[in-house]
Amino acid sequence: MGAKLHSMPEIPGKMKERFEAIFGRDYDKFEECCRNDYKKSFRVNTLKISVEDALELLKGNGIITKRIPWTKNGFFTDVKSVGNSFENFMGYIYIQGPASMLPAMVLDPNPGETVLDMCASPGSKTTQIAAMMKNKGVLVANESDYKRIKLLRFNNDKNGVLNSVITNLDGRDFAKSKLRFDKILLDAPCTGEGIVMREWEVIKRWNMKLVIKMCRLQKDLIASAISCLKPGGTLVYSTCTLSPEENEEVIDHALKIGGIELEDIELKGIKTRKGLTSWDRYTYNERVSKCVRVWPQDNGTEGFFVAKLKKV
Amino acid sequence: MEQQFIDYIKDRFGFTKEDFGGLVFIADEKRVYVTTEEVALEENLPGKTHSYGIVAGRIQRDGRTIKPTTNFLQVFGSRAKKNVFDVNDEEKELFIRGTCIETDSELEKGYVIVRWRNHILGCGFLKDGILQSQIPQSRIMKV
Repeated sequence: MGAKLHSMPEIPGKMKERFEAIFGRDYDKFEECCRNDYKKSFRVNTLKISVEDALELLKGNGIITKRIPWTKNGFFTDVKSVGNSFENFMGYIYIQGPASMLPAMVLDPNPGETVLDMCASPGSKTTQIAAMMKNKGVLVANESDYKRIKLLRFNNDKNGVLNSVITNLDGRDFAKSKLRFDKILLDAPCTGEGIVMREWEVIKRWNMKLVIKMCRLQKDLIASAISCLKPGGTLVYSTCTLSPEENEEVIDHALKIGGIELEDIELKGIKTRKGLTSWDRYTYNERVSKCVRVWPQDNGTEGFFVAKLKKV
Repeated sequence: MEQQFIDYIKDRFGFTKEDFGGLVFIADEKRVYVTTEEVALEENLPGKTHSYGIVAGRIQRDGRTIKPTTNFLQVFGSRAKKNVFDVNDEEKELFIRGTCIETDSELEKGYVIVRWRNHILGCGFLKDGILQSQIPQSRIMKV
């Protein structure tokens, strides 16, 4: 992130109190980070162009890039108008947050597998997964909100995603599905506290009732995801929020359901924190520390939470 | 409609069967999709399926004409053997912004694949010496 400061609405009392409890001594760094200008980032869409060719084209058009250290195909740029570039028009690049690329990387989908993106719109991770699958295998991109399917459809089309089917189901209904998946990404609906620096609307929407409501939905969704995963299959649970209720508590709940194990997550080039094993008056399963927290102030990115589970 | 679309693009652009190996075309009332055989043959897909792969063609109001999409041509257009319209640097800038281009091209009237250098820009419509950009409003580059 650059050093340019911008004005941001005051973080409301309760939210600030919780952030202070999560970040401890790092809270001031978090707030400063939120007020800093952030760098644009994108991912090269390897379904349409090679990384080398894309970089050459971008360079020719005056767009200087710097690789995001923890990705193969992700890049930072200082050019704010990259979203209106020829490369974006062509679907050669996809504008995506640098931490938002992590869940699909942890999922590590392969060509030929059967994969579910349970909450898929707008399609950032769907298109990333399709690229990793090299358009081979079956990718079910589900979106429960019919109005949001249009954007998912738009991005799949623009990015040349051929191996997908878009479904319009409540994620909780996948428990009844006959189809069993090798890999599932549950990038769950959340309060979005980790993107507060980009979308100030998050502050306006935020309240504790919403946190609790999301937590309930997330627990139902993860239960559904576990039930339609093949034995030995991988489930990645992620959010762009910081609340332990929407993160560690959901994973703790999944471990209580049983039949799954938490796996270690190895990420290079990015500073991460362990999952919290206690919060407020609650204590979670110690294995929850295997989850990964990405804090905005550590890497100049959005905040993210990622957990990797394996069905036994 | 699937076969009608396949016949049309073969005839219009010189595509061959091999250009779409391992792929399947599926139509609904408004669109023709192209997806992989693996997806099309999967029997256990959840019931509430919205759409497949990418939209290859849009069925026009007359119910007979199917317009190939820019997204489809960007993926497959490099395999076309005819009715490819090459634009220069200046024309490229106009085309991707949705502007019409005057031309004395001798290509057949109708849909054309618009190419700049080795990049397939998308679908155009050639008529009466004018190349009309068919890039949807949601895709055109802002001025």
